Amino acid sequence: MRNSLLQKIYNRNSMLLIELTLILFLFTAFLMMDYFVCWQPTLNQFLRENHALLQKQTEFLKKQSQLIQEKKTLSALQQWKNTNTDFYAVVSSVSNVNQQLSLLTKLIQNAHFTILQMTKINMVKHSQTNCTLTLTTTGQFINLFSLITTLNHFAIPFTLSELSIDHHQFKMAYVLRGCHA
Amino acid sequence: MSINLLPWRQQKYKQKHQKLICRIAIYTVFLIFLSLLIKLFFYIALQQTHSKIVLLKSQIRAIHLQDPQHANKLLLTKLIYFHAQKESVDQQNNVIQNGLFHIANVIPNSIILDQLSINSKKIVLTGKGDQLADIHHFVDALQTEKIGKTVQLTDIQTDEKNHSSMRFTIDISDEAQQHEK
Repeated sequence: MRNSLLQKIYNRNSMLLIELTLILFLFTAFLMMDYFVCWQPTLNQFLRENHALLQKQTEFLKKQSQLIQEKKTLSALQQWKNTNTDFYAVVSSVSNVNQQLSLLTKLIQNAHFTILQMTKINMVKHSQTNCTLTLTTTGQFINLFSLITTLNHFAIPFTLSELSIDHHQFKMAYVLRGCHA
Repeated sequence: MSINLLPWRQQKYKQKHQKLICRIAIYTVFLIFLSLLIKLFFYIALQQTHSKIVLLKSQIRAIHLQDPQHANKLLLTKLIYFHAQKESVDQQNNVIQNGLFHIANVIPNSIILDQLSINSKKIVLTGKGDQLADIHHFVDALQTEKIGKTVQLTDIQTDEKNHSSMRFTIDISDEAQQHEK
C-alpha cells in the first residue's frame, strides 16, 4: 500500500518534470522563432536609430562647443582691438603672406630704396614655415637706419636676417617666421 | 460482483487531457502576450529615439555659427603669434642696426668700405685705406666698440689698381662668445 503511494508520487513528479522541460523547450523555440520572424527587423531599426541619435548628439555637442569657442574668440579679438588698435588694424588688414610681403616692399620703397630684384622662398623648419624674401636694392647707407627703425615699429615681425652691401647695391634678406600659421 | 473501472479511467483521462490543453492554451497566450510586450517595448523605445533625433535636428539647425571658416580664430592666433615674436625680432634687428651704427661711427675718413656683409652672427668688411696705421686703428676701434667678440684683420694687400692704397678684409664674429658658452 505504502509502495504504491510512493510510486504514484514519483510518477506525478516525473510527469511534472517532463512537462516543465517540454514547456521550457517550447518557450525557447517560440521566442527564437519570434525573434527571427518579428523582432529582428525591429531590433535592427532600433539599433540604427540609436546610432543615429548618438551621431546627432555628438554633432550637437560639437556645434555647441564651436559656438562657445566663437564667442570667446570674438571677445578676445575685441580685447585686442581695444588694447592694440594699430597692431590689430594692420594684422587684420592682411590675410595672406603675399599681402604681408607687399607691405614690406612698400616699407622698403618708402625708405628711399629702389627694388631691383625680389625672390621669395618658403622654408619649413621645425614644422614651421618661414618665408624669406631676398631683395636686391639700390639706396643710401644712411636710409638703412630709418628702415630698421620703421621695421621695428611695424606690426608684422619681419627680421632683417642678412644684409650685404656692395658699393651702392644692397642685398637684404627678410624672414617672416610662421608665415603660414 | 464485478466492478467495471473503464468508464472511471476514461473520465480521469479526459480530465487530464482537458487540463493539459488548458495549460497549453495558457502558455500560448502567455507567450503571445510576452512577444507583444517585447515588441511594444521596442516600438516605444524606437518612437522615443526618433522624437529625440527630431528634437536634436531642430536644435542643431537653431545654432548659427558666424565663423564657419574659423577666420576669427586664425586672426587671433596670428595676433598672439606676431605679438610674441615682436620682441625677439626687434632684438635681432637692433643687433644689425647697432652693428651698422658702430661701424659708421668709428670708421676713419681715410678708409672706404666697398663691401659689407652682416647677419646676427658675423660681419665681414672689405675696403681700402691709404695708410696701414688707419686700417689698424679702425680694427682697434671696432674691438673697443665690442660689436663682436672677435675682430680679425683676415686679409691685407696692396691694391692692384692703385698701389698707394691697401685693400683689407675684416671679420667680426661672435665665435669666441659661443666657445665660452
